[in-house]
Order: sequence, then structure tokens, then C-alpha cells
Amino acid sequence: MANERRPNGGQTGALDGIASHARKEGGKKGPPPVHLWNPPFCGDLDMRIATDGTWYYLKTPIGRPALVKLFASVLKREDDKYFLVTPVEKCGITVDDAPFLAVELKIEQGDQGCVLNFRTNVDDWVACGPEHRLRFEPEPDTGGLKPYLHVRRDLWAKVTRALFYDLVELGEERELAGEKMFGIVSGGEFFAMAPADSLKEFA
Amino acid sequence: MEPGVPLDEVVKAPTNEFFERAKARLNREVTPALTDLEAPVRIRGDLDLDPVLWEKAGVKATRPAAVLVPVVARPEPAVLLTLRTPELKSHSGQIAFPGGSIDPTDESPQAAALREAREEIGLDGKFIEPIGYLDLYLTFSGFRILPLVARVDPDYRLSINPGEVADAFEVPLEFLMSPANHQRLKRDWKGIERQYYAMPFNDRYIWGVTAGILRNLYERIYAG
Repeated sequence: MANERRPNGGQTGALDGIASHARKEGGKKGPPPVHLWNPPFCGDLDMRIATDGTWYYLKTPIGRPALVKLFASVLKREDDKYFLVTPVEKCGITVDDAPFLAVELKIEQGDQGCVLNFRTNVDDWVACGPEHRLRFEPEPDTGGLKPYLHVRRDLWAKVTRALFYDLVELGEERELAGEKMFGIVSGGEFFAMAPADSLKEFA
Repeated sequence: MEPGVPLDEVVKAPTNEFFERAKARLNREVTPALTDLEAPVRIRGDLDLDPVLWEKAGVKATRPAAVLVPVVARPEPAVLLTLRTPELKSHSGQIAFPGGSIDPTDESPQAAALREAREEIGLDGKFIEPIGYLDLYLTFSGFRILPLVARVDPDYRLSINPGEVADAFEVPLEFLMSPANHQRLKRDWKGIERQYYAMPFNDRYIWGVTAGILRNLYERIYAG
């Protein structure tokens, strides 16, 4: 067929470039310095991170965890837009809610008391504290709360419902600005969830 | 990831959704609460729908145990369950996962779960690929159970120990992971209203600890 096109409209070229750069960066220590890179925009990829943390490429789930981790390592956020970046290119992708999911909780006793360590779905461990805060957003549909954990550079993980229940179980009441708040302590910080008297609504 | 493999192929590699999700979402760490009765933990187990009843019931779960949650990697995955013999001391005649107390000689909860699977149903470790742990589950019968979820090769063979197991059978994962099949029931236990899950599948009445662990599997893998 003369008019045969690559089914993805030629996106694989850009994606190959990103993957090969990310692989090179992956050999170094820590996540690549995506904040230092500001290459020209090369359009949007048909790539989406769904609310449940699944990555889709051309509407198909990416079945290789190693590949998802690779792309996650070069994820960058500018305002509410998300991109995969390398030193030479920057492609837009869609993120339905938060790009990561916090899926495992490990509690440690440190110098400053309890530290909540979260593992994300792409296998980063994040120690919750002043650098990695928890925030709780109202969920209008249910009247409940949606918890998020800061991972790095404006990238957040949604905390799964199962772990949120753990947090509620470990929570405590504190007075903040004259109001009794229910929240959770980690790394010496208190992260308020909601006024203590509204507990029943989200627990 | 293997360099040199064309990206098109890698991205489109067939996905096996349950196992991928399980690898990402299940616990890798053994919770200290397995052996430390004072460690902070959300009570999940019999009565976890109403934890204050634990106090009233006056029972303490103290004995560390491990079970294997074997998910058979068929095109439509299935969970391998056992029917315990009527003669057993605990949970006799019930549908259960292979498992039991963690012995001092067991290297880890995982090792205990694999040992029990071999002893009870003759499932060899070569058919089992451990994936991760579920949440600790405390039972009224005194156990602190750490369930290990594992992928099982569909070509597995069993050799059932008739002293402990009357039958072994598979139930489709899809049925067990459909919340519509998760019944929340109540039963009177020494004057305490005890709540539990039941997931009857044909003539197999899956309830109590086993149903509770399956519910936890659903929550960890599929909910929110």
C-alpha cells in the first residue's frame, strides 16, 4: 500500500530518542537533572498516565515496568503540563491525576520520631517530612479526601486508598490556630487532614 | 530494560495486567507488626470492619503465620485454594490458602509459605514465583497472618497431603476480584456481632479469613 503509514504517526522516533537518552542518564546517580534541560518542544506523544498509575502508549498499557521507570525518570512538570525531556527534546504527555502512586508504607522510628516511608509504583522510596510533604484534597463527589505525597520537583504521588486507611489509623489530633485538626506526623512535621470534628466524613 | 530491542516491540509487549499491577503494588517489606505486637498497624482481619470489637472480644492474635496466595498464570488467571480436612485443629473443613505457623527454622514468611505449600499440597517451589506481601491479617483464632502473593506456573502438579487437605481447586480471579461478589455478613459470636466477608463460588463457600485476605488483595491491586 502506497499510503501506508506507521500506525503511531511516526512518534516512535521521538520516543526512541527519549528512551536512549534516559538509558544513558540512568547509569548516573540520582534522577536525571530534567530541571536543567530546556529543549525545544517537539509536540505531544499519545502517552497517558491514568489515575491508577498505569502508563499507556498508543492506548495500550506499557507492559514493561523497566520502561515505565525509564520514562518516569525523565518526567518534568511545567505548571499543569507534563513532558518527557532529554537535553535535546521535550514531548508532552497526558497525566489524568498524579503521575505516581504511593503503594507501600514502611514506618520507621527516627531521631525526630516516626517517619513514614512510601514506595511509589515506579519503585522510588520517599521519606515523608518537610521535604516530602503530604497534602489532602477534598473529593467533592464523595465528600472524602484525596491524599498526595510530594516525590520530587512538583511531581506528586497519589496515595492509594489502602494506604490512606493506614494513615487514618495512625493519625492524631492537634490544635492548629485554635482549631482541633486530625492529621498525621512524619519526619517531625504534622500534616493536617481535616478538622477533627469532620472525622466521620472521611474515615 | 534491554538496550537494542526496538521500542515498538517493547511497548507493545503483551501485558498481563494482574501480575504487573501486583509487582508494582504489593509490599516488598515484611511488616515489623508480624512479630511486634506493639508496632503501629491498622488492624485488618476478622472484625476489621469494627475494630473496637477486638477489645470486647478479649482475644489476642499473637502467633506469626504465613499463607500462600497462589495465582495461576492462565490466560484467565485463577486462585488455587484448598479445602481443609474436618480433623484439623484450626479452621477445619474450611476453604483456605496453603499456609500455617512460621517456624523458628523458617528464614522468612516467604519461606514458611513455600514450605507449607509443599507440605500441604505438594506444590513445588519451581512452579512458584513470589511477588509480594499483602497486609497483615489478624484472626480470632490467634494468628497474625502475612499472605504472600505468588504467580504459579499453569503446568504445576500437586500431591495432596490427605491428613491436612481434602481437596484443591481453582477459582477464577475475575470472580474473586469483582466487588459485587464480596458479601459483607454478620454472625453472632459469644454475644458479639462479628462481621466477615463471604464469596460463595458455586458450591464452594469461601468466607472468613480466606475471603478477608481476598478482599485485601482486591483493595491493594484494584481499588483507588
